Amino acid sequence: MKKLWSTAKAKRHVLARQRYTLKHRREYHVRANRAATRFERTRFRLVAPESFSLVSNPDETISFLNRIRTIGEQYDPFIDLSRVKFLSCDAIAVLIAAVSGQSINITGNGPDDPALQQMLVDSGFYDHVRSQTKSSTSARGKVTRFSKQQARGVNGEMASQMVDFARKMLGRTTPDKPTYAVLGEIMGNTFDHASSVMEGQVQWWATVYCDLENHKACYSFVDMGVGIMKSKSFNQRLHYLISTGIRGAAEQLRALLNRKIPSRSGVPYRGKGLPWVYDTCCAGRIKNLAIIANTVYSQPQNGVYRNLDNHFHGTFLYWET
Amino acid sequence: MECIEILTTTSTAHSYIGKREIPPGALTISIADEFSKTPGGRYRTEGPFSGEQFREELLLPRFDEAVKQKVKLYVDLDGGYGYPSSFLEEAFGGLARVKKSASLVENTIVFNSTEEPYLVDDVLRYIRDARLK
Repeated sequence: MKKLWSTAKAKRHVLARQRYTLKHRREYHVRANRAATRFERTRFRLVAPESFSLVSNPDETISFLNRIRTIGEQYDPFIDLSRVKFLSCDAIAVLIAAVSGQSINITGNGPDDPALQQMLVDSGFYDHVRSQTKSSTSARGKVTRFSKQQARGVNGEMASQMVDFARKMLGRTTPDKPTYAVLGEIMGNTFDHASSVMEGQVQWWATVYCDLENHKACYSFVDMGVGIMKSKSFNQRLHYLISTGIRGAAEQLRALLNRKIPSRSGVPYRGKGLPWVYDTCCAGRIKNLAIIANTVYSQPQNGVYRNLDNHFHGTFLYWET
Repeated sequence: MECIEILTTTSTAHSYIGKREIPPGALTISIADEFSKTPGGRYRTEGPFSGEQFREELLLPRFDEAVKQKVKLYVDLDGGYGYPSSFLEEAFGGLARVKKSASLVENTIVFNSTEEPYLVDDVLRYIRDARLK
């Protein structure tokens, strides 16, 4: 009897099988090599500024945040915080807002300075990124993400959770009512300023960090949307500003906070959210208010209004109590 | 149902809001107890517990009852987490606009806030500045 494998048909089958296996084995290796090369090639190291603070070093910090966005379009950013010498809680808020929810692969490291690394751990930052480092159970800070669904108006429940966190950490008996009111006012204001295109598309971030040594709570609110100065509602009032000779974004923000801009709807009792926050600061109920909106930086209680070199995509508020 | 609700908020002798004694027969509203400890924004479109919702569902019916009975309405602002200004403006300034009379609102409602005393002046300003239309 003739052996099966020695027939012409069997030989053709075995040969075809061998060719098929070899081809796929080669393709697998090519794909694997390509992926490895790609990872090495597209990782881009972005070194954070030594003074990583939006309030005290806005230009460099915004430039760094913008580079995450632009570099991310082509490469996978690696955020290098190792050389940071000064870190503030407001920078943590904007960093988490910049890196979270992105479709790109962002990696990074923590500061070399152990005290700053501990601050990052305590801030609640690691609750919102994938890392082997976990936020400490005795965290001094809380990072709150308002999802697209939750960023649709005033979310009193989440605002009260932040206020409660600070109350417990600082051992206060009553909640910080002015901060709750400011958070509510900012949320309503941000929702109001969001363009119809951006509505429901933007996340908000709010952070609280308790400085136990100085017995103060530091709050930040970040909206990575259009920003006040570019909002439709603000621009509808621009013709008034231009007609009265108020030019330049910094002077326009000053006019807005000092109630020199009429409501766009012609309704006098509306459009007073941010001026009211400023009044609350002037009354001493909150302290060290800082506002960054698009290209303007302001510490209104100190009379500081200046144009920035870099464009901040959204609105940022910081205050202490 | 509405009658029962109003009866339960009518003060009895020697009742107080904060340190303020409420005369018998007067009506009261405690925003924190009867509406929400976490008030929201101006309009219903801005989320739950808005000033508009408070005015329409709680404040306006009780205000009308107080006017009808010719008694004061005592509004207690204590007990919650705080008030965004747009909530207060829409609730009380909005009431003045609805009633087309700032003086009627100012003369009927008595505000109490021991935790944030400045709120009383703020609310009275919202009523006066309501710019009735």
